[in-house]
Amino acid sequence: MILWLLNSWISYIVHAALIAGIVGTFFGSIVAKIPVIGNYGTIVKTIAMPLFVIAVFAEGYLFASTSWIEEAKKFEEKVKIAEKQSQETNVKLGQALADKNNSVKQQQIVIQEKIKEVEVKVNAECKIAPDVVKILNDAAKLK
Amino acid sequence: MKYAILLLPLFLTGCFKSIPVKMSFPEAPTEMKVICPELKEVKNNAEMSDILQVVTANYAMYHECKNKVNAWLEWHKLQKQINDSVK
Repeated sequence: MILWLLNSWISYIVHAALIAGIVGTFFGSIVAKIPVIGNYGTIVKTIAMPLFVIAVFAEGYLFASTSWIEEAKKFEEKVKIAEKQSQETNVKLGQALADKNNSVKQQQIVIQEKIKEVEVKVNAECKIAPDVVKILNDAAKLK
Repeated sequence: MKYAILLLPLFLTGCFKSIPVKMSFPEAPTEMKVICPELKEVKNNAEMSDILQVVTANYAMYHECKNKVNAWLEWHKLQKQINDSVK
């Protein structure tokens, strides 16, 4: 309760200090030039100037402490969720790729078996000219 | 007065209270990071069955490599969607 009261009042105190600092600096500078009461003006200005500077710092700090930190926390949460989603996506994609390549390998095994079955017949019927091998290998190589 | 004005920007640093939040670059699955192999070549004096084996093996390598490229495209699309959802 005390903390809540302090938190709710602290921004008013900072705003008041800032206004007092600006007003004090402005009027202090004017009053300091009036001959009879000039000393009072100097005193007011001397107090108001540091008050103004500290109040500016406090205003900035308050702004950062409330809205900015909340925004940063929200962003941090979003990043955590995104990183988790990213990992899940990777697992799914990796698994899908492994499955597809596995089916390619299985198909390849079946085809190699079929080639072995017809090997003798195919080799007896087809004569390969040496140029055929060269053309095939040239096509497989990168120039 | 002059010194106070000079000090003012320094005190404005109170406004800059940033919290560093970094999103790490997503790592790709290890299956996708394998380089596509070179095509196989036919031996000299090869028979028709040897040629068939080499050609079908090359087809299989192409299919594996195609799957990998498609997986990279899918990975990029999904990771971009995830990344865009954070902004």
